[in-house]
Amino acid sequence: MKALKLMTAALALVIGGQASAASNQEIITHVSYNVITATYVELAQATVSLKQAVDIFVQNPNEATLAQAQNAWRGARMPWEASEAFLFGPVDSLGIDPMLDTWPLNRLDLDAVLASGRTITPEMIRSLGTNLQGFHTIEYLLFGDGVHSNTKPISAFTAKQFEYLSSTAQVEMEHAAALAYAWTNRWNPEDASSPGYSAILAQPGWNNQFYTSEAAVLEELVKGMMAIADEVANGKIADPLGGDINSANMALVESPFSWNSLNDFTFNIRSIYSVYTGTYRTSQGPGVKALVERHDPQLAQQIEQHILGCMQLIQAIRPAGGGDFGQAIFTPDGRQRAQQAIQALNQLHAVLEQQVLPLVDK
Amino acid sequence: MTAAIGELKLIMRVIALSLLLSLQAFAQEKTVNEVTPAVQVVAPAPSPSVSPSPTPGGTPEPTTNMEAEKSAPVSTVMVTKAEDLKAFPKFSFKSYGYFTFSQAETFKAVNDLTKYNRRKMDLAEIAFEGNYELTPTSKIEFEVEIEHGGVGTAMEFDPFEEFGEFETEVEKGGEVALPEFVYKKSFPTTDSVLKVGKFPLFISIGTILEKPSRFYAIQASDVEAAMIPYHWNELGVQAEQKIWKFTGRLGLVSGLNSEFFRSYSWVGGGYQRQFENVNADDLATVASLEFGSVAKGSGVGLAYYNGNSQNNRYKKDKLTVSAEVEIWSLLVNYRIWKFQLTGESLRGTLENSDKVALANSTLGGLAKPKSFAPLGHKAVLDSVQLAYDIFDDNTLVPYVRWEHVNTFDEVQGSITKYPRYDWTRSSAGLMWAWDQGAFMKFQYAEDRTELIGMPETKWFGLAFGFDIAKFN
Repeated sequence: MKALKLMTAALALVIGGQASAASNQEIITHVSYNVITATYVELAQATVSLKQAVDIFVQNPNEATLAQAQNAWRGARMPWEASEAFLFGPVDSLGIDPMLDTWPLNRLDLDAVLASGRTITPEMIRSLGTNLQGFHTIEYLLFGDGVHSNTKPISAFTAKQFEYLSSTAQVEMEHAAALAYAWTNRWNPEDASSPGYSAILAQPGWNNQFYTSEAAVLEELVKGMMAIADEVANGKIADPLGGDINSANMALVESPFSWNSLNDFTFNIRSIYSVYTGTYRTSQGPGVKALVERHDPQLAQQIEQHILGCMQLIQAIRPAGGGDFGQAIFTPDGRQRAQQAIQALNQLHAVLEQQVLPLVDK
Repeated sequence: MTAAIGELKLIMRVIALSLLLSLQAFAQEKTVNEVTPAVQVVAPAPSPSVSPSPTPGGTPEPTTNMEAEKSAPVSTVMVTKAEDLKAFPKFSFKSYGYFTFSQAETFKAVNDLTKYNRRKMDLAEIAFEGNYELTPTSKIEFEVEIEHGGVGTAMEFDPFEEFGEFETEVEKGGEVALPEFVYKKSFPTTDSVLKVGKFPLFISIGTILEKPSRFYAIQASDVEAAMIPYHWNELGVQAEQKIWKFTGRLGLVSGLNSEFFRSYSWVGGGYQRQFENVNADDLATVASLEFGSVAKGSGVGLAYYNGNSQNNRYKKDKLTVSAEVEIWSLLVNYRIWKFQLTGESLRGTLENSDKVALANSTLGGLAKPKSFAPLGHKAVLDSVQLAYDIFDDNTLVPYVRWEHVNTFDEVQGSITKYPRYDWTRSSAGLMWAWDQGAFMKFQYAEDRTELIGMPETKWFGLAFGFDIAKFN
């Protein structure tokens, strides 16, 4: 929590100090290569680390190796959730999104597969439904059911679960690698002449089959930000809340097993921040904010503060007594804080739609 | 090599069908030539047995049914044709439709199997059938269906995806559809029929018993849609030959597209109706032998479907192996005294099902299969229904029905069997034709899957509809 606050404050200082009069092309180039592609490259690296940590745990299961595998899962989760403001391009056209991150996990079918007695291999995992592979399958197997705690005793692991874990981590790593490759080298694996999608996004023009103008790219970026603001507010947070405390539903919470939900949501909004400010890790450059600044510098600054505010409101949902979003929805205070976050996110969505989106054509 | 074999098969099919049609045409031509002298010497007086029967309004009724054509002597048919030609073309029009109310137990989410009741009302279908008779032996039949009372792209809600996703259903041709548009040429002397156009396949009870007056439950089949297209009509050409009470059919029709095969509908999703055009790189053969008439409740039939589904894919490079679909079906709809026995048994095979599933799993955009890419290699479907016609006039008919489908009966490669798709529906209900051509149907059903931990669910449905074709 503290680390996140410090991180967001530091980001605000760095970006706030930069006055940018960057052109649309500069925005597009920087965001394509240094934000989006960089995120996917990090994701690919993080899933390699996850696979390695899972294999170490499977070969030598103890509390220390389990904790390392769990941390590796959290580490891989960050770049993925921080990519959800740009779920366009290969992640969609190659069908990778559902293979990496389908929620909810289908626990009944998973139990049926584990009980089937078949040897579980990466090939078998590839042929399963997307709700039986990916982040949340690994999460469930590593962390347990998440109802009363977010850890699982070593004695609860079965040989089949080890097989499943190792194979699923392998497939997850392959999908993340394919996604990074599609952005860096070849967006269409079936076409040897296709460039990386970063080049497609960064070079709009009449000969570009997806983006014929800079405005088209900027529109894609702004709509991507709007989509994740809407999903976090009205899907990820609002749906599990239900109409009242009696209809709150933990089965609808994302990442409930690891108690990582609020970090997931925060990094979702962090992806908006990255596209908006052009900041990713140590890389800084013009983002969509530069476009807004050209028309209304004050508004540009307000939006940035609003994004940071949303991240803080999401973190504030965490119950003081422990737990995560899955526990907060069953307390009046937690629900109230969640409503505040929803309201702020919906306002952010409205600002992006009403005040930023019209600027892409100006 | 595989592609070459596929093309060879296709060419062989076309040749076989052409030969069959040529033989038929030749036989017909020969017969006509032989009877021509007889026609010339017959007096032109119309035969009472085939004269148009006067109606109260004095308008002659159409006399185009095959029975009338077949029973008439050849010479008199020719005479009648000469007279009737003045009255052609003729147009007739029928219609049927129904709306439903249902209540079903359903679940909140895949990991929250708390049941709740969902009630629905649906203006399910209104169909308009046109019959345009060009001559006594040729006609065009078409049917326009308005489904779910509207036109446009439908929004659907999928409770098992993410947090319950609202989705756009890509169903062009599903809301206002032209499921049937066929030219039929009859050859009375050889008892043959040639069909060209889009027509229903003789493959399943749900497709054959299309009109609501022909079945007692709310739908002719509740499980077919889990395996094959329900109301399966395809574009193509078909020859039919009748010998005594047997009817043989052989057709070449548009095939399926394996890109849209999904766990929940097996090859049914490959029925090409999402796009404006139907890809015809792979065609299918349909053949059947029927005794009596399954459609009219007095027949049994054996049917066969075979067609590749690989080359009709849009993203062809994703699947480099053949994906042949083969289906056998045994169909019964037979009346004994007041009892009506209706049933079917389907056995289907999808070649390289594991590779099809893998190819589909990486489709993006609206074709994204999400969790539904896995496919079974062999699928089975069995159903049996026993109805009792209380007054022997089809006005009050209770029935019981048992249906079972399993689209993961056998799997290939790394595919795992999914007990979720091995499910059984047991129903009981009543059909009440309370007015001429108008009916009400009640149905209560219980569903059970073989997935451990998945509770049984109950379903109740009520339909109200009309069928003005009922008494024709």
